[in-house]
Amino acid sequence: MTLVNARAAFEKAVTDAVAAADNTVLMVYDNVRYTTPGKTKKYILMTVNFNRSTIQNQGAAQDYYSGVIQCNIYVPKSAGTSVLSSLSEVVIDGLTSVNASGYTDTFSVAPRVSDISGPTPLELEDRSHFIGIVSCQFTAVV
Amino acid sequence: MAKKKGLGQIVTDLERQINDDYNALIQLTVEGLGTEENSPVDTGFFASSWKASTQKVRAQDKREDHAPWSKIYETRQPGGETSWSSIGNQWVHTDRKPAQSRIKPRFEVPEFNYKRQPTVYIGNTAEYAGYALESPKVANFIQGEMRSLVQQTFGDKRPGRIFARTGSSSSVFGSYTKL
Repeated sequence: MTLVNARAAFEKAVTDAVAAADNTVLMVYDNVRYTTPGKTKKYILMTVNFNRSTIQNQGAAQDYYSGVIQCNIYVPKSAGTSVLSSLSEVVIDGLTSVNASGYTDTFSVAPRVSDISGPTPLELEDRSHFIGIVSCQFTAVV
Repeated sequence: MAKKKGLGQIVTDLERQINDDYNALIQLTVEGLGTEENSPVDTGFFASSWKASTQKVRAQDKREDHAPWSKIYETRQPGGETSWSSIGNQWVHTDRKPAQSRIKPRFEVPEFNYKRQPTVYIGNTAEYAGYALESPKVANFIQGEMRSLVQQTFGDKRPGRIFARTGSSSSVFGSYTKL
């Protein structure tokens, strides 16, 4: 279940941070069916992609997960950038919370994130929302 | 008897080696991005439009102006739309997918010199590139596979700077990730 735990550690970190800041924001995760929220709603699509699962030391392989997390943050359009900025900050805080010395490693996977890219704003013509993209590499060791 | 090499020759050889690695990495990055694994593909125009340049790359090329993708797009049923969905991490087509897609790089990767051109930008020229960047595929390649490759190739002796775009499509002000 370590793969499940690795994913859960990051998803929980971001979800907790978002829920604490604004509990009206909908979180959507990989492979979860959802109906696109209305244009006044805020929501975040969080995807976790694994690039590596083990490292081969001498002897048995060790579970070592690494990959990329991307959070697409959708906020109402034509309403300025402050909402996107504050929500992006919350997502970034959630991601970096796993690096904090006081982090409680509930899932026992020693999660870490490295440099975070974004938030990169995207204003797309036929999208009902203003979008910000935040992404980073992660590792988890069991 | 082995030939002696002067210090000047050693430096020249070293610089040539670094330059070769620099160009190989840029070539590899552009090639890697232009695949179905690392770019979302519908007609293949986006995946074919990656470009390496010393200038920031503008996303301004329209698919309808470029064959064969303009023709490929016409094979869709009219009235539909394409959107990214987290369901299954894939592009969802509300209409029928084009009969085929074609990935054919539109831009040759030029030869760079790491001393004269220490900064190289890799970006996509497709006008709708912003839509494609909602997909995690591109970030996954740039931040995952490519970053590891750069670190393995150059370690502490990075000869220049290579940036790959993960940001806005409509202007040159989008964010580039430094590899």
